[in-house]
Amino acid sequence: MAAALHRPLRVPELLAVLTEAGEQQGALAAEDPPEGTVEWSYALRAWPLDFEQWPRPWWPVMALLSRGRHHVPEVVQRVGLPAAEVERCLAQLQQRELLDRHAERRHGGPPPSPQRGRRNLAARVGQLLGFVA
Amino acid sequence: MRTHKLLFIGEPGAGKSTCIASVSQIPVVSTDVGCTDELAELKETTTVALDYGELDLGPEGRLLLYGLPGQLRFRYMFDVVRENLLGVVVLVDASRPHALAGLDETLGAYARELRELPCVVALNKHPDPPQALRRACTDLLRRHAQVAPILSVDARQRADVVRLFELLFLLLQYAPHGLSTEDSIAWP
Repeated sequence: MAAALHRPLRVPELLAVLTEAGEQQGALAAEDPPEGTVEWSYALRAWPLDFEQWPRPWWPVMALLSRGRHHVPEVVQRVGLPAAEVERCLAQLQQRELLDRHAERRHGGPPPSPQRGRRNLAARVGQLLGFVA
Repeated sequence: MRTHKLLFIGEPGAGKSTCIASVSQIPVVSTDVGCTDELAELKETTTVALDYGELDLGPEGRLLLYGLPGQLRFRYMFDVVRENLLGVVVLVDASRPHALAGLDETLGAYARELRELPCVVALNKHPDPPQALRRACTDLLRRHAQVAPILSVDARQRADVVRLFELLFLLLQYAPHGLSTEDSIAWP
């Protein structure tokens, strides 16, 4: 409401102002997480049907989000992709409504890294069968 | 020596035995018998206990490959293989008109296990499964609260089965559960 009124607001005007303010706040809440240490975390609802046509470096992002909810910095650290690349992947998933998004507090410290045993095993099986783990 | 396990499950005739045979380093041990029920119209034999194959991983131990019968009444067989289980491939015979019914039964029978383990769904026996079937599979997975990639494969082709392994081991590397006995899922 940019214009100034030189009389008390009437009830319908007051309701309109309150509704407009509420809608603006609602729109912001849909886009940005609450202030403070709370950030968006993401979990995958489903893999894209055509995921094999998606960039191969994005597959680990989807693998990670298949079994847990993670904040972007955690995804970046676990997957080893630049943040911008992770965000591009998330944006594509979001566009297809394949992501669940929650505002929640991010715990301090780095997320657990994949165990060396898992990497070794995946590498060995890949070596045997002919894929790069 | 450490052993790890992968499991192939699905409806009868979905291709579990074929998948294992595509990559196993030993002749697959199967316990097939002749079909005497309506399944006889689809195939001559079916697995009544389990299929078994192996991969020798050298210093990493052995990878044991198990195929479990798809019939719900054999659900108890899962207890035989659950220790050190790394992941599960759910096979679907995409050529059958009621392919989704089999997947639905499997997802229902193994709901908890599939939510806790890396899991891949493989649409087999159809050169190009229709988009509608893939979408219906995704919807079914979501109804069962499962998140898993869906792949189209020809289980007779080693390269296709290797793609399943590649995805499973990718999921495994980012899954919350590990490989060793200590890391294995804590079953009640």
